[in-house]
Amino acid sequence: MPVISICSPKGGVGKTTLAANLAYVFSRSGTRVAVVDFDPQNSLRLYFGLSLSDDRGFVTMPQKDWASACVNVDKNLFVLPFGKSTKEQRMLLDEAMAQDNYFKTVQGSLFSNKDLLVIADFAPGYSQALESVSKVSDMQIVPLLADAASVSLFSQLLAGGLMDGVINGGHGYHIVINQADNRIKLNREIQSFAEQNFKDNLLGTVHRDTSVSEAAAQQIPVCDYNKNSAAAFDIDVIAKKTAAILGFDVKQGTMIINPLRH
Amino acid sequence: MKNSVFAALFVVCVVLPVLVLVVIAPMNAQNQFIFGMCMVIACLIANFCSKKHFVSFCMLLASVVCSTRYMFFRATQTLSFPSWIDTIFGVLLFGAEIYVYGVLLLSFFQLSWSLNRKIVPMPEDVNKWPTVDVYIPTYNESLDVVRDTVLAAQCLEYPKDKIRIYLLDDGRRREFATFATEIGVGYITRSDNKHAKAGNLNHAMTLTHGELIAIFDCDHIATKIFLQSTVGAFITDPKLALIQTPHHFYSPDPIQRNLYLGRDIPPENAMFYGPIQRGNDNWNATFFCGSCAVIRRSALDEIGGFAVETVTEDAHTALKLQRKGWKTAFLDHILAGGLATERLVLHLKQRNRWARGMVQIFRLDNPLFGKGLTLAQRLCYLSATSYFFFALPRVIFMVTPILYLLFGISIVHGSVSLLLAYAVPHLILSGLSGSRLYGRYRYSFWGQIYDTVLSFHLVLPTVATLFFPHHGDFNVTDKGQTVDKAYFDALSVRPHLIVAFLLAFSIVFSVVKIFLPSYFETQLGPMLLNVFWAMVNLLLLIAAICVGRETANKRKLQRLNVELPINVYQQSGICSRAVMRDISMGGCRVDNFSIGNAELNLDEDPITDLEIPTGNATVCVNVKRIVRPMQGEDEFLRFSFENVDIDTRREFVRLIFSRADAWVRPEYKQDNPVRSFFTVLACIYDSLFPKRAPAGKKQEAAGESHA
Repeated sequence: MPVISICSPKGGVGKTTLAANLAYVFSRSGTRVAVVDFDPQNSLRLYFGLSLSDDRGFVTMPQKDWASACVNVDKNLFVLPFGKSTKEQRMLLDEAMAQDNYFKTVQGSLFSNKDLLVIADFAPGYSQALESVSKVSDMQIVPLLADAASVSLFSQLLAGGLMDGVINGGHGYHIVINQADNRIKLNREIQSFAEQNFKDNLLGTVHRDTSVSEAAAQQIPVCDYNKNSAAAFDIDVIAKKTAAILGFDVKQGTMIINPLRH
Repeated sequence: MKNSVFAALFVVCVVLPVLVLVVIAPMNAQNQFIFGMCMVIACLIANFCSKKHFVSFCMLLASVVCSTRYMFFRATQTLSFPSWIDTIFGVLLFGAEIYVYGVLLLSFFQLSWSLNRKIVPMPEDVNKWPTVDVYIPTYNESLDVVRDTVLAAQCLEYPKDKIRIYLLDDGRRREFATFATEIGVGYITRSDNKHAKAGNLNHAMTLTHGELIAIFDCDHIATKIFLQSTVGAFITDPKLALIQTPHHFYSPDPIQRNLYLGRDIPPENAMFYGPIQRGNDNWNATFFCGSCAVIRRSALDEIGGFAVETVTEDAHTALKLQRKGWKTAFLDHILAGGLATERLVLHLKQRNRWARGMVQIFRLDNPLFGKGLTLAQRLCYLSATSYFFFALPRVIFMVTPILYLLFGISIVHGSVSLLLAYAVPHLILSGLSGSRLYGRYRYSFWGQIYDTVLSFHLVLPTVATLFFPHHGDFNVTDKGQTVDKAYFDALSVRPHLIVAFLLAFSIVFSVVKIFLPSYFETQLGPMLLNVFWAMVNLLLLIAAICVGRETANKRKLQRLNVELPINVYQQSGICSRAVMRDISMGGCRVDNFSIGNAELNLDEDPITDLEIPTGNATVCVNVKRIVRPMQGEDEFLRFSFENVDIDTRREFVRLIFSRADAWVRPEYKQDNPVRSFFTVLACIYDSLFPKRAPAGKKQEAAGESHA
């Protein structure tokens, strides 16, 4: 099964949120999903009900198979937290990951597993993890905000020069505009600017929706917090498009509760 | 060629003599009755068995034969009167009947061959598309009415560099100028209001330069395909001067609103903007109706612009164009929707103007005379310009039975049985063929009601204009008003009330006479005939009087049923998906998505904005929730739109009015005279004994059925 990287040159654009909710969507539709946190902030686990004091993680085991560190949080859904780490531990991990074919050999049971979809969440900007995973990654999803600061990144992304070119593996990079808010004119204009420029590389837009942060606070998926959430729907659409691009079947037909009554 | 010569010879030498014989053959009452009933039964069977045009034609022929026979009988056997007073009224009645007979023949001619024109596609090469000026003339209508029309004009799909939109404001209003500037359309005004609308249009023509001119009355909201559906014909036919499309009203006209409360009956104008104009089109005699039309500038230049001699500049302009050899066309696709006259009194005022204008044309530029027209065109225009003369004959028919029953004036000489034997087949067959020919556009008996409503008010204007054609001003029909409270417009139906009272009195009086034969000397036959006639008249009058009962009409806005996924923003920023069920320019109704979703407390966290995709763009609009007092959970959330900016409004117009299918509706059912008669009774019953249901509810039903 494919490996999806979720990365962005900018922080705070909703990478972790997107990773967590995509993982929920895929797992609920019957796909076995492992979501891997490569960000030393170690915050991904909080989306899945793990407690703040839970320090487990793969950072302490660079040479071992990380499968043993996976936490089964839901049916079909496994979380691989980064773990609490020291600077030395992180350096050792980076060193290990820099080895050739690290993810194909040492972590092969996760990253070359035909029954497992891997969603990898990264720290903002360049990291060793991003570069190493990109060799096995089938697709990069790059969330950006519809604000002025993101616009400056658009041209760099289009030129392919962002993050040292590491995000062009597999099916290449796909943009997700996060926190789209049509109530604000500038936001609306940036969305249409992105549409015009990225065309097919624009995977989708996610509405600004407080349901997302409310759900995160309750450690549940957005669609459980608000079954009609606009953001949840948008993420669902993105998941479907992703599945179509990567060419794998989503096992059980529809993936989210459709709010349209008929 | 040879065939047609033979056909003509056959018609002249065989068919015509036979028909003449059939018409003039004298018969006694019994034979005439048998003859008439045979015709009626044959036509009923033919009507039932076949829908072919040939059968329709044969039925028409039978109808014309019976009617002509009746008229011949009337002319030769019934016109001897005992005294001079009987002579006066007898001749008047006969004159009225001749008029009706003439109109019957004319309308059969108009309706028998109709042209179902197709849209001519635009050429692939956009460079060949002509430039178009869109004129929206206005005088005293409120900006609320005009705004959406102009926005819809901006939504017309046409190359931006080839279309110019102009608001022609004869009211010289600052807010209109501001509005036009704000949205970027041309604003034209002038220092005088000479020649009213025609003058307004002519003035604008001197300032703009488009090859074609599209005209929309300020309440006629066009669909986006209007130009692409009409302009193509001008490119393929360089002699085409005009394309007229139907005027469609999305609000009910007074008769619809006050009388048939949401029943599925074709509106009054369906007949004209269907069979009549299609029939005209077949003879190249479509006339311009002032709005929802495209005209070629060069053709207008040739006749010196829009006609200013009469108060119906539109029809006269078309007549002048046709005299110069220009062609006109009618495209029977509803491409724009407007407001019907809101109240009976305004309806009467509008028709009054039309009547005066048509009579003016009849007098000043009679289509029977003058150069440049074919015989068929002359007949079609004659039919149009003499249409409003119906008022006088109608009134004569109304009051005639009173004259006999109350004053004993005998107007028709002859035995009742003979009269019936001639008249009944004539009436049944003309009704039947009419119902067959245009039963989808006008139901039996309803035409009589429409005419009855107008007749008393049109007698004076038509007769006066006939003698003094230069008098009279253009009056503007007020639109966009509402009727806040139900009331009875007694003034508008006063003549109807008086005549209805007289009829009722004469019926009662006669019945008394019939039951007391020893005191009164009566002829039972004529008495019964006149009582029956009076009762029919009374029924029509009561229906007309019911129209004067103005029902409350508070909803001003066109409501569109949709099933549109939208996003709903709450104050806290929670954004949820929901389904919009209907939308108008003022608000919308949305499925209550919060049911069973405990986290979304709409009372504590109210909805502030809606995000609506319109196909062209996604718009966000501030909303205020309208909470209706009701038990339990409401299935719908209702919102009114707040602070709608002009760009958002344009998108709403695009969504609600500008869609190509905005005014598409299923055809009305084919008329069934019996059912139609009972509908009339039911409508009268409804009006006289209104149900206790809240008026608003009924209005909703009426509004939606025409949405």
